[in-house]
Amino acid sequence: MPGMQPVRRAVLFIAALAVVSGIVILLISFAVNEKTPDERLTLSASFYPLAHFAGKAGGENVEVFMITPPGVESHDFEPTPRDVRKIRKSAVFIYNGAGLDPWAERIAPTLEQSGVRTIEMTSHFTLLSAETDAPLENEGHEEHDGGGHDPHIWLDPLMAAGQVNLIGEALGAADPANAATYRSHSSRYGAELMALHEEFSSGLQNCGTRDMIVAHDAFRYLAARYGLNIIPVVGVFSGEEPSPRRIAEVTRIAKEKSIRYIFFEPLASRKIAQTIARETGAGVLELNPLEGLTKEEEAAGKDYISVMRSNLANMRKALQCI
Amino acid sequence: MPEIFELEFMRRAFVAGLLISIIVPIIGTFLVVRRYSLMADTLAHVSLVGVAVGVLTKTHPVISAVIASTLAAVLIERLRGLKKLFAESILAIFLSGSLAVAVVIISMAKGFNVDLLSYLFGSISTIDRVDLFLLAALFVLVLASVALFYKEFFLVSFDEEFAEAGGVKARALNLFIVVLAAVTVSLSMRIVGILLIGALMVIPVVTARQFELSFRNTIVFSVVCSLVSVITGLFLSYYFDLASGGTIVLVSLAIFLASFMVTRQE
Repeated sequence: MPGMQPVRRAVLFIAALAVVSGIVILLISFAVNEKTPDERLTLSASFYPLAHFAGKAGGENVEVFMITPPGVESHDFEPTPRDVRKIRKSAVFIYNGAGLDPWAERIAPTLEQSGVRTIEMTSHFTLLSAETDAPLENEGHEEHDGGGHDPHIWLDPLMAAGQVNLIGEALGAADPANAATYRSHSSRYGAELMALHEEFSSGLQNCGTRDMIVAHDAFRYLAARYGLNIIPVVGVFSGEEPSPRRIAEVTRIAKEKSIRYIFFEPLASRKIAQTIARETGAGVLELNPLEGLTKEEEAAGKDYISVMRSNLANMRKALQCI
Repeated sequence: MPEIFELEFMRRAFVAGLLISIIVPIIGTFLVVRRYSLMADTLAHVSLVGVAVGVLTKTHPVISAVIASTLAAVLIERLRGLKKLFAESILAIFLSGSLAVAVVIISMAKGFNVDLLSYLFGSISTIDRVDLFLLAALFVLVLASVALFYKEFFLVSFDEEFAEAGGVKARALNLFIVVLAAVTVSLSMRIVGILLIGALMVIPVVTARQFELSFRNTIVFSVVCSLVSVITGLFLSYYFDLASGGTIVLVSLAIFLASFMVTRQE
């Protein structure tokens, strides 16, 4: 637009801008619509184990949204505004708490206000402290910060059974007509978890050692249940990078206790386990903390129980159990 | 009501976004014309130190970010006043130095949950009432001071020495502008994030300057550009599930490109 007055040209530009962005806004707010929800009860769960348990307790009657997508650690996840809207439209929202899903702890109070039945799983169990092995008093809902507690309660099959029970009850309260169905679903799955517990306790009874080195301190509830001694490379929160000093220390312990296998996690890097294994001549094995399954694992038909079984197999190998 | 406004935090995000998109380019204009564009980025990085301290001491991270960036702004202006170092070098030192401090503090806070990404790239679902009150107060402060000291700000930004000769207290005014910038940057980080706030402060202003308008009209134009960027960006990010900060900056870049094509032909 040569020769035009600067102000006029600027005004024209702004007008064009306003028209274009106005059209864009109108188009997307009318064109992008959600799928019409079906008649089933909807439940949102913050991450894989809870979504899986809810699917088992709810069966056909419940549509379960897993908010943290496959292959993502729920601690690193941030829900999009549309995720939040989806959660708000569901009848029940379950999350872990104790710092595992900080985003869920943040939005939970507003969800409760808008009538969503919200369960914070860790507030229903006696938690281990994130620092020492001493169990802490259950502080329930006052504890919003979650810095001090170990959140990995789903890795103990018995605690998992307790969670399934809680979910079944919450579903029954949200949908009283089907309460009996939810109760029978959750007790059936609870029985499967009890069988898993039996496998763990007999499988880990007679072992050459009870010491195991893991990438991050996720397995303390499991270890407490079956009398194992966990030596973690990093603390309870997996985002931390271990200091070279800590790696050296763990290497020394591995040599002293002549540990044969170092455990790594599928969603995190296996480099640290490999570094220690190279130093000590040990092998590496996978121990899945089940914070999420990748798309491949899901496609291969893996679920909570099958992954826990392969965890058990690897633990038996590493601990030389008979 | 459109779907996007059903959620309370989206309404909060819109209010915060509108406030920010008006004051950020106003402050930005004063920085850009004196070739101080990097200042916004530097102050944003210093804000991260404040966030880290806030997380470590379990206080409100946004408030400690405001304190940290204001202190840094004062220090930077002092150092610049000594004329011993290039202004650009001072900014570079503060930018990378503060990042180092922040990373060390965050590593000290291990075991605590630092949702760092939400500060680095913005997270509109985390805007709380305190943030909104602070933003509203800042909004009033920025508009009032620009209205009151418009002429002085203008003179200082274009020719510091000339302004000084004309009886304007250049150093005090400089400091005032930079402190306003510091507070604005820290309060805007929830929407666009620490790493992107510099873009929102600079791109709309550069867009406006291509039209060779008067100083006053440049400000008005850049405010309109940033309003359009923020509103369109929030809509796009909501309906297509995109990161809000990045989407806003991309829209403002698109507007910049369009303006560049339009004004190029001369």
